Amino acid sequence: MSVWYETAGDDVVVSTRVRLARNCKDFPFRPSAEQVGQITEQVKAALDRGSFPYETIAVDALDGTDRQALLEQHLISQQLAQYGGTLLLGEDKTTAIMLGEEDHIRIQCILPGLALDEAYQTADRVDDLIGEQVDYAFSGEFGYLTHCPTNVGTGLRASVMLHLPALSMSGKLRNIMAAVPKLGITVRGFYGEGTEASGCLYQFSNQVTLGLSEREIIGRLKEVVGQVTELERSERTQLYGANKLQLEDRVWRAYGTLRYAKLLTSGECMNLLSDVRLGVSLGILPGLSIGSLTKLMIQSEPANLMETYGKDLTPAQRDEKRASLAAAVLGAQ
Amino acid sequence: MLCERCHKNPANVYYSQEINGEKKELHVCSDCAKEMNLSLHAFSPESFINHFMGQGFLGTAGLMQTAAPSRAACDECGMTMEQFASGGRFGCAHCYDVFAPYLPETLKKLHGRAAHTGKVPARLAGKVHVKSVLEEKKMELSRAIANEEYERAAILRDEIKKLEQDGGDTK
Ligand SMILES: [Zn+2]
Ligand SMILES: [Zn+2]
Repeated sequence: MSVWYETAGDDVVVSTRVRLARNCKDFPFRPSAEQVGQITEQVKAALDRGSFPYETIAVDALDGTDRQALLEQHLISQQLAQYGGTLLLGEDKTTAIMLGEEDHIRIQCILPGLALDEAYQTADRVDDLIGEQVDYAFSGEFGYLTHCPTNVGTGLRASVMLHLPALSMSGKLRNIMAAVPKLGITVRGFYGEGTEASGCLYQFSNQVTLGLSEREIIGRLKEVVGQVTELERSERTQLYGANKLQLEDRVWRAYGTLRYAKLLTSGECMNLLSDVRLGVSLGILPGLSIGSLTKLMIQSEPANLMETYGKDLTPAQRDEKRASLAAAVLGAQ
Repeated sequence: MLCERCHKNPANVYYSQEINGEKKELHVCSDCAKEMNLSLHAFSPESFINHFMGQGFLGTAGLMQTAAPSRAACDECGMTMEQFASGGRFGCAHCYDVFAPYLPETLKKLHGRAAHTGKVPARLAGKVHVKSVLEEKKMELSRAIANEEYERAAILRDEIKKLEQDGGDTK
């Protein structure tokens, strides 16, 4: 198994993420550094006992660029990037256990494409391993107790990242975004909470964590995501049927710019990738793979570029490197 | 201080509302608050609620805070109801026990339900009792009847009947 963005998702669903929030019974929700250390040791011992292979990454010791790069790869949360903590990254690169987050323990599993059941099962197994050794804060009435009551109960947040260019273009996305909260689903931009959607990427997640079983939460989200996916597909077909030349022009222009531009900002690159991705799914650009585009999307982000080409890159130099990276990826296919 | 409505129970709910610039204040007991249909929510509008729930969540009833908090503090971490009300986050797991009487309403607003029906940690299996969907519905039914919400009760009765026919526990 490799990290999620190196394997292709499908034409609409980019990735699936599941996270479980857990706390230790005997420590306050805002533990001291020493207590976080104790929690970390307990969790590591539990993983070792369960023969779960992982790598320890002390986020505290990383510089800003390294933290940002992990955030861009969706392997740590905004909170961990900002305030530090410890990341135990599973050898499979799909399981990320964050310690010292808003909750003591956050177990995350991220997979390419639509894989809610698999992602939950993986997180659930890791939760069982840790739960065998660690005394979780839990009550029969309120379930897993969390720092913030918006996570209490199952502590489960399941999210699916969708690429919705056709629904954005036609304006129908607005209706969907207005309707889904009633179904207990929230929609956010690419980086989660409070971020603007760039590249037509939207994250759909469950709002409710209490009073429903894990299976029900996953099932409801799956249903909504399935419907939105179908809507997006039919909207794409319709859009292409009605504006064939215009859409082909748009896709090829995006391709041309991505392949031959000498300077690309991160925002422009995201939006061009969105058009190219749409073109691939409609068969306008044969020979390009969706997987290579997802990988390029992550690798062309500022901190990931700096990890590859040098941390002293200025923004202008990054734009140059981004353009040459895009040219290489598109030219190779 | 005694409840300004029934003059029997101690007042533990403080209610304030601004109408045309004039501030109205009321101290009532939780029973009266319930009867007056004043929901107890322990959050300020600036806190996370708006952020998570969008607008309209707090409704038009104005801002309510509970007054019991001066005494109701968590004996493990020291958090008071007031602190929870302004920050929207608990201090420790024990806070959930201390503030349990105030929680169901708050949690219902956030999640629609107030009782966990999901996974139980392996270490506690058999030691804690988690309500099944069926039990939760039965509780909701008795609440609906007590509140004279007969239409809702009828719906719940049908749902319970269906659950029981399907073999009861659908977890
Ligand atoms: Zn009263
Ligand atoms: Zn406490």
